Amino acid sequence: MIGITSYLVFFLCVVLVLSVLTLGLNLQWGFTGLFNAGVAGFYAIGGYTHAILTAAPQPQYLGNFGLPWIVGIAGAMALTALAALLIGLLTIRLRGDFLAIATFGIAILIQLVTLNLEPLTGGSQGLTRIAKPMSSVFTTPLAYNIFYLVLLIGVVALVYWALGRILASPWGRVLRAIREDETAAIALGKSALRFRLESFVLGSTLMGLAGALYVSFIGFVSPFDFLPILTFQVWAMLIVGGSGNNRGALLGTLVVWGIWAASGVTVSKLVPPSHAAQGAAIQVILIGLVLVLMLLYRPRGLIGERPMVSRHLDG
Amino acid sequence: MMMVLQALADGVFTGAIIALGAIGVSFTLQIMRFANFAHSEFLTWGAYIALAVTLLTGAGAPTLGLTFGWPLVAAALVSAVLTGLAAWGLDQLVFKRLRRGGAQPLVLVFAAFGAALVMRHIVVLIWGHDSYFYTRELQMAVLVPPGIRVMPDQVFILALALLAMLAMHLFLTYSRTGIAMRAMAESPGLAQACGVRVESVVRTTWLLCGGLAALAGVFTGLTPQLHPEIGFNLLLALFAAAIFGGAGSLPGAVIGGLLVGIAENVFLLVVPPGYKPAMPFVLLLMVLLFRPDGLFGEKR
Amino acid sequence: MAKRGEVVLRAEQVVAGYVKGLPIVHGASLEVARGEVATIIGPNGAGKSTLMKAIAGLVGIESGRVVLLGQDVTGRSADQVVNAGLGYVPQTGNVFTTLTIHENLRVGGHLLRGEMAARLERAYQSFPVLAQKRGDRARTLSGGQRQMLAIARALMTDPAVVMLDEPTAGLAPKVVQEVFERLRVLAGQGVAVLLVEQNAKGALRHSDRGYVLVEGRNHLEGPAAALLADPAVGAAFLGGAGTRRAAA
Repeated sequence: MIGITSYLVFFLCVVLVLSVLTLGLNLQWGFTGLFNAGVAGFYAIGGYTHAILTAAPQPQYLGNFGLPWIVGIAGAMALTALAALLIGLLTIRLRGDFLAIATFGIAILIQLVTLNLEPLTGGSQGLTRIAKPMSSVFTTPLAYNIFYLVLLIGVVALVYWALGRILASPWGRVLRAIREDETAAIALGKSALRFRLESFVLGSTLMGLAGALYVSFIGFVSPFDFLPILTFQVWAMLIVGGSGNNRGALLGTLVVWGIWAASGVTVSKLVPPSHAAQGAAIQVILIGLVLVLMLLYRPRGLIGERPMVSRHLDG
Repeated sequence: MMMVLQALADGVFTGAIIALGAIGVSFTLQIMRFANFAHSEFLTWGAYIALAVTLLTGAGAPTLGLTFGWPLVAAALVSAVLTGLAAWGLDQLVFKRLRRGGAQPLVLVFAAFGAALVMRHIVVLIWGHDSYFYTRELQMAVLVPPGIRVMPDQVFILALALLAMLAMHLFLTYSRTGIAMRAMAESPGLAQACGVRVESVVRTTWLLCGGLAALAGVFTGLTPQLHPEIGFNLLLALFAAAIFGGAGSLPGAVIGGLLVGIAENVFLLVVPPGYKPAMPFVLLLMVLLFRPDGLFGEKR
Repeated sequence: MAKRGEVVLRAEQVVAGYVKGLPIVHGASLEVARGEVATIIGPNGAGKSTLMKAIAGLVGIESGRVVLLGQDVTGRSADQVVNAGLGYVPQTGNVFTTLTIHENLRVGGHLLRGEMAARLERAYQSFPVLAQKRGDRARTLSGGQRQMLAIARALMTDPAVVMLDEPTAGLAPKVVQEVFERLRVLAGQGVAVLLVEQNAKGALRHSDRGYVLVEGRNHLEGPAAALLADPAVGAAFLGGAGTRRAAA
């Protein structure tokens, strides 16, 4: 019984962390129409920044300042925001699919840096001994995970609420107008670009937050947590749940990660360990097919309000 | 100095392969009007389909000082046909349906990502992650004045690649379908008003682009091995070359490919090897920022 | 008055627009006979170009019919309509600028089987300036030369009906004259010619028949000479002072 509860708690924690990612992406895509194919990159920046700030100092690493958890979180968000600003300034004018290529490449670049900049990032080994907040209070893994689950629920609720307020604000209304109507965007000219940039930065900052939350949950970080497939999975979450709708983002995260985890468990039970790589391949093929089928037959997603396929013009 | 010359030579060899793949990206970008992220997997499939054929027939006894014989060339051609069909099949199954439903180009890009993942992992499913070789023959480098080391395989590949590019050029310039393709690349509406059928051109585009990608994949697999990531590792280079040369331009894709290949190898001289994959991306970023229409591209 | 030839193109109550549910043409009809030049005139936004594109199969038809050479071609794709005997010269983007003149003509003759060489020769004979520059890219041509190329390209398939959207727009007066004269010669050879023209007076002078389209509907029609003489038409559409209706 404990086994299942403990697994479920862990699972939900991961889902909540990933939903922060999805909410950030939804702001960029669902509300602003920006195709960010580099989600994993911003996630990585947040995660590594938090790690470098909060991990216990070790002689072979430049970073690892052992700072408190909250500093790590704030620092992760700040640095990701800065990176997003720089990247956004360079790329925000690009046409849709070129923006996708550019952000995709940036994520690859970030992954390369994490792999190669060993004194800072620990290279392929990653960084360990990252302090978990309140770990002295909740000593058993299960107790700690439940604490973290409650923390995450609070964080996600806060982010969801904050996004709701932002989108209802004048800024949010302009953003929606730009997304709905290209001519309005052209008429606004330079300002439309500014709104897009702000949305890009804000969404990416959320991704950085997610990275920090993840890393402090797990206790270590490595480049292999931020592979391109992660970007794909987050997009899948958005598409399955339905973009342009934050409830959809949350639902999609749960469903897609649920499918991923369930297929992982099924595969590990059915496929002998010698063929683990093939088993993992089946998982990926499955999620890829789910995605493509979703796009073909239910582009609106499960509860989405706007279809990704077929723009309807009003009036 | 010698190292730079060597890097240039190596760059030309890899550049020719990149160019072959970039031609396909360039034309699908211009005619299909979206960035096909699954194109890199056409290379991978091309390589592995040829591998499957050679496992049946053998790569052939080494001839002409190469590590392989004519059977591999034949396998490459068979693979080109099959991969072209697979590319067209992918369009029929996925992209065409999305187009019919009025999907925005970004949705097609996303579907291409998904298709790429599935295609790549089908290869992993069948072949696993380990490396494969077309042939176990070893080869000695030949010293070419003024002292550059060159493998006979590389020369042969370069010759074949140039031949393929020439064939494509002749097709596009002199054949009815080829000219129709170029017409559609510039203006689908006007081409239709001339009686050109869109679906015919679309089919030809996928068959050819898939076929060229397959050849590029086989050549990559030859130098020196196959693994499921060979296409994906070239993705950014392919796009950098295609966009640099200008979408829809054959000479652009060729020049772009050669330049990307050379730039990669020359920069390897100054940059730590771990960062090698970053090179094409940096090039791509510069192209996107400074000249997104490319050298020979027409504004859409 | 010469006897009118057989009607080869007929549009019946065509309702069409770029977006389904938002028609720009609200039930327009016209017909063109062999050897006849018919011109559609009207204010900006009247849907003249849209009607032509709908007939050509480039814009969706929501209701109504288009009959070409006795065949119902409503709803067919543009390439099918061309195959059925139509030639179409759009207003803009009417040549392939990245292709050479020779290649442009070859695309024009895409549907030909075996007659390509003969038709190319014929095109070069009719348009000597194109013959001179046949290896040059179309983007190097002047406005008038481009228009000639666009027309030559459309004629490659020997269409029974040729439609031209504002063929004289932006051209020098001498070239305008040449275009109208060529169209008359074409009609003389038995081709049905349909024009959309902003240069209403000039076009009607060279036409047999005119249609006045306003807000996507037929407003007036009749022999060109009669329309030219009609004071109502003259004031609203031929004065050159524009119309009181704002563009849609």
